[in-house]
Amino acid sequence: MIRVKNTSKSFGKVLAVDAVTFEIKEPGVSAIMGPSGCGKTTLLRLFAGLEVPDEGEIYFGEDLVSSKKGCLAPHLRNMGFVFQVPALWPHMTVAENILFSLSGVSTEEKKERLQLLLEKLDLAGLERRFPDEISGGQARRVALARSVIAKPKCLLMDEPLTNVDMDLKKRLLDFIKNEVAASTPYLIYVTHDIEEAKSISQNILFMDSGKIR
Amino acid sequence: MPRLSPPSLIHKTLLLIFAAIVFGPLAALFTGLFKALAAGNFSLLSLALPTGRRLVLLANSLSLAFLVAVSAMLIGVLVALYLWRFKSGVGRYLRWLIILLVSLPPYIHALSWMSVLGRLKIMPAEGFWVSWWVELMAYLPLAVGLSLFGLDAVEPVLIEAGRLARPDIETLKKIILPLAFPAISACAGLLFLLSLMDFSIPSLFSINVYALEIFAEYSATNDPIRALLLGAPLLALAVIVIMFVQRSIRSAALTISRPAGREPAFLIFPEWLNWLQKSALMIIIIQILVPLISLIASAGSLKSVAQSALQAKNEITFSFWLSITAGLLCLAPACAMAEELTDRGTGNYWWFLVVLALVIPGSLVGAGLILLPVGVWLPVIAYLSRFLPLAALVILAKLRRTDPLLVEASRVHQPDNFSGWWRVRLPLLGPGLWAAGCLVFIFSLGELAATIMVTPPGYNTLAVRIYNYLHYGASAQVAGLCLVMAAIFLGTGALMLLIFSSGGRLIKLGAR
Repeated sequence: MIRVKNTSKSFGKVLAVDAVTFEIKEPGVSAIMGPSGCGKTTLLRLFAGLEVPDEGEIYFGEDLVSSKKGCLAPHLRNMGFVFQVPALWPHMTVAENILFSLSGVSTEEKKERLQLLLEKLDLAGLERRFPDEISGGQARRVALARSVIAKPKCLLMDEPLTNVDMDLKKRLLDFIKNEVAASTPYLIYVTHDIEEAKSISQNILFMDSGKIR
Repeated sequence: MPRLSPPSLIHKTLLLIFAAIVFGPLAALFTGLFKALAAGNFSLLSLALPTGRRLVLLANSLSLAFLVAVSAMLIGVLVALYLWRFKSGVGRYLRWLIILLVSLPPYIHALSWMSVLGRLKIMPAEGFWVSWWVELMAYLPLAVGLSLFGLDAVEPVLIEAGRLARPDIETLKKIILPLAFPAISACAGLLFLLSLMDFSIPSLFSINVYALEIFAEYSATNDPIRALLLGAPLLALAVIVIMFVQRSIRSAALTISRPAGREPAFLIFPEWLNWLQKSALMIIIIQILVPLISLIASAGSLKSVAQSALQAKNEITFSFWLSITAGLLCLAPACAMAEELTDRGTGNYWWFLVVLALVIPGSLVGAGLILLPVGVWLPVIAYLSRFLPLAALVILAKLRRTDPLLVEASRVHQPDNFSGWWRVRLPLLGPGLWAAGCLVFIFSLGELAATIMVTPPGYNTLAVRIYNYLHYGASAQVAGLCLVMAAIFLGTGALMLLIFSSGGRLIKLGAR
């Protein structure tokens, strides 16, 4: 269960998230929809522990993970995050980027998981390349692979298919629905595209001016 | 990236002027050398190979420069890591103050520490380690500033992606530091060369270094060719270091793409690292306070400061005009060079030359200029020769922050080339030009190594007067002059930072 209680966050005079309260009781895919600038990304960043709330609390299960008094460090939350941009580390190869989040696992297991993901995402053969040696679409897929390789309990996706061509968008959406959603207990998918939201989840939350409507 | 250049012929002419001014002194020296060799004077060449006493001096210089660069970078990176997390409040002002202190010339630090050590009497105010400490203090602001610059260039989203997977200390080790490495290594190389080429601090603390030998040789023989040959090992070292760090400097200068308005993540580091950062911060606070307090204490009353300034009225006026002229004259050629550096083709060659020009020893610039018939304005050419590359890099930084779409829009809508350049592209570069001009003004005012050789008889600059006085110790008079100089530096530097960081809004408000 994910519980957000009366959570607010502002940047200077801009109130990005305004006393939001909601619960995701059952595992599954939830979509958050809303116009640009309504606070969707800030809400995801609060989930991930990348922002500290000004007010309110966020719980995963029974554990308080964020409040204005303190936050559980992002890497201790067992979460994956797909940003709006691929955000690949330019000094690491494709394989190093994907494997970075995987720790406490044997080398064999690492290799196995990496190969499986590379094949599923049509990235086989690119593992030794650097981010500036692959295409934008391939970079998106590497970012997706990086976020799921550690099998996180919760995966946050922030408009992951923005600026992606139609063909790749369809393939990635299928992969997210069929593969990622099946193996990730909680998937929170942020988008401003109603069709995308409907195709990925029945549980859609609408956000506007920092509030969940 | 689109070029912001005026019509091509002007651009090429300005590039030529840039090259002539920056490399003219060296070219004059090499021409003189070839003439001497053509006349069969081959015995001169033995000067280029350091042996005996000169080899010891070179080893001294190398070890001092290495120690200064390594220690300044260690402390600089720690302080930068601390300040990097605070872009508002006290941290922001401290960051600005440290960047401002980059402009203080090394001999002002030397005077302050001379005075402090003289009062404390805990150790003799001379020798290798005192020289190392004072050089460390002098170059620390540059180390902090460039490390901050490197850290600021790391995209926050890359850090956040790391934080989701690993503890912050690992994100620091595996993501932040490797990504900031170009700026950090470039800074280390630059500090090493700056320390290697400087003779002002070691000479004041009775340490003989190789850079002083060039100046001494010229003073003794009045022969610039001998100075060039003596400087050859330093030039060769500079070329080697630059070959290693040139790519890093270029990469650091071209990756200033920090999204506006986003604070870097507040990383949580282990206690031992926090402790190290706080210790480094203490050192930088000492670095800030010692020159200020020591200068004020040594200078005595406001009246005596005014008296010192009045006595040096001619030097102040002369320095002021020379520096302002250099600050103004640098703009056009530096602007053309900055545009050229963004060019993927020819830019490659220019990069090497610009970076090399940054570290040509001042005494060699001076020796080369003496061969040219310029007259009373010779110091201006010396300043331009030394600081044009710096001005080009500052303008380049502004160029990289300018949205290319704005330039493309002006190209589509401009009635003619000139109005597009004058009304859109030039104002976009305004803050960069202002900063470059101010920087050249500040550095020219404090320049010593070349000025001391090229100042015409009957004239003197403030820097030379201070340096000459310093050999007699830290008197109230010299402290007063240093205080005046520091006030000019800090005032101009503050104005420069204010306008650069306002993105030119202050200039526009003024124009209205």
